[in-house]
Amino acid sequence: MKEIVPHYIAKIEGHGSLRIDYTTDSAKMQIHEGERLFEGMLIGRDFMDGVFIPQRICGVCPTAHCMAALKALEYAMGVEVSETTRSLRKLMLAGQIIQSHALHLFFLVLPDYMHVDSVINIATKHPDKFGLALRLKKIGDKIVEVVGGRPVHPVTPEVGGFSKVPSAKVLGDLRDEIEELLPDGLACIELFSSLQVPELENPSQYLSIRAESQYGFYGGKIVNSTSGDAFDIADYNDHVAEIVRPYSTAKFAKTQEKGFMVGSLARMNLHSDLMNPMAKQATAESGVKFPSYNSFHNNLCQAIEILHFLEEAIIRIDDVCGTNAGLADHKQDVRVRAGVGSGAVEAPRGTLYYTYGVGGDGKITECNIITPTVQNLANIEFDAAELLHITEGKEREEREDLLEMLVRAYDPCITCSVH
Amino acid sequence: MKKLPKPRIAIFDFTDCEGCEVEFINLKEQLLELLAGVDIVNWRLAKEGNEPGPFDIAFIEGTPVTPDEQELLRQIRETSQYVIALGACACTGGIPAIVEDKIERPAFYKKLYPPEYEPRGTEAKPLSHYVKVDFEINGCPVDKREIARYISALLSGQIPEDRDFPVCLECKINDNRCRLVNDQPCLGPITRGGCKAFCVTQGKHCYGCYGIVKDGNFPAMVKRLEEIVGPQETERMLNMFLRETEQYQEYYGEK
Repeated sequence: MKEIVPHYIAKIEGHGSLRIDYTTDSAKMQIHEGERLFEGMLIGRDFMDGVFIPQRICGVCPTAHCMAALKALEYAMGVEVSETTRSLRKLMLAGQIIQSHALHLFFLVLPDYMHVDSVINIATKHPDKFGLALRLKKIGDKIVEVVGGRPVHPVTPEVGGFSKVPSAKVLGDLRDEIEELLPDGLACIELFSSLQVPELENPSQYLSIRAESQYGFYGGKIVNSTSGDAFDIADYNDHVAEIVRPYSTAKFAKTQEKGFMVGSLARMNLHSDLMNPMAKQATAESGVKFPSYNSFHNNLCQAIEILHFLEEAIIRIDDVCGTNAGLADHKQDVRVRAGVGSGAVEAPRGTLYYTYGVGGDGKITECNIITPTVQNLANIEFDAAELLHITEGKEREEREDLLEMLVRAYDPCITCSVH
Repeated sequence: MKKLPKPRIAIFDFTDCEGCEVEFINLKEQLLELLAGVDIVNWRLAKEGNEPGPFDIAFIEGTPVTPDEQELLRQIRETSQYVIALGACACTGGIPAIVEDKIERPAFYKKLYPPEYEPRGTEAKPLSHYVKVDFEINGCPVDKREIARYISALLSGQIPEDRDFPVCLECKINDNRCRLVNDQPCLGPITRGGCKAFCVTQGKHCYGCYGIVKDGNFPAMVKRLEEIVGPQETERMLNMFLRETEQYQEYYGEK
């Protein structure tokens, strides 16, 4: 039988491969998945579909898509949500980042470092690590499930708030469970800081949301590490340009002709000083100095972020339970109003931008989505070239393995990138 | 059906969100128990060292949008004893099939990509459009408990029972207020159950992601929905998951 198993890179979300040119020390990131045309199919549909449908861009980070879509729609229609709604959304997004990072670190990355084929071997050979993986994945799933109804493709979030919210008792129990898992958060950082990552020193530009005095993830401005400039989310089109490459069904994003990096490493390079206390201390003890220009450190950053977002989830539960209006204030009346709006959140893999236009009849007139992986593709190629350069003279097979590990370190989501 | 000795299992994904595979992983410890008696020989998302067929069971998620995917699907069918469609994209065409293939698809390529770009995708149809599918696990996403039910049944030599009741039945069990009776739209009456009326219980309507239930009365559903939301919105609600179903095509015709 010919090619029943095409050589797509294993253990990443979606279908991608690297075309390596050893004579020029360069690699192209080829994307094979079919175009998914979300930005087309949403036009003419009711604005409520603008929340339900694009979650289906990604089964790993649907909550991030849901939140960015909500922000864009609410901005377009002039809807102000309550403090309770904002806190519950932040709680969900914290859970989303934990579930995605845990999945990526333990199921897709760790097998490389343990020299086994898959997490199933980790389960049999390293049951302690597998137990840790399951506990962290479960708590991330549970946070999203408690607020959103289920861990994949949640249904309760809607324009103006939530169709249903958990009771204070359920949130209180969840808080206790998260608190019990904080030591696991530390153990996860210890594990990933003990791994010997390949060497690479390749400074790039780093972009991330920055909120005033907080480790940004739900809203704020976008900061660029190189220029130090901050721009409004609504102006992202002036700063982040999408271009098309013939070998890829996904577009590539650049800023002023240069690639850049988004995601955990970018966030920590820009504002690790704003992390929650335990995560901040663990960062100081990790032995890695930030900013780091080794993209393999993205995985350690994901581990640190798991702890940060566990702490964040506790803070957000306290916010919800501490407000006067409490959980009752979770739904705003929504009146259809024509307008255009943009929104962004930090998804697990980096900044996720949405723009929606809504007509006076409530129908979607315009839709633009830029996913984190689209923004990282050019930088993966930039790092791959440097990695090829510094490994000249080594065996091809070893270099190929290193390149695949590099791609995996970025945690690319190709399913997102071909939206 | 014969009980399978250490079966060779493969899990494939075509163009889609991979959320149903995530539900596979969400089985967590239970997945290890279920798979103790099998060899997963091919699962690109989760492992290296992936082997070619033959496979005893091939789970396939997603919609084969590109000719390469359509060809791979045919090859998987040839070398697999059972092909199981995993999730709405594989079972009904799902979200990708919102895009109508003849007019909309080419128009969207033109709108979203520059002129020099050569599109890879050709159409969005369910797996059963190309090959024989032995079983379907419905849902967007599938419910991990349904995955467990199918694997357990097949490994013990049983044929998994089909769900031939509508979502409404589970809505009654959950004591939900009927949306249609209260002039709110819902696809519950024509949609196959098994989801435990999840969306309605969470305060939303049924979107139809499990596909059309046996003997579901599509024209009657259209009539009732049109009374509530009008013809245009009715068609929109029905084409979200059901465009490629026989009943939809028969009613709305090839456009």
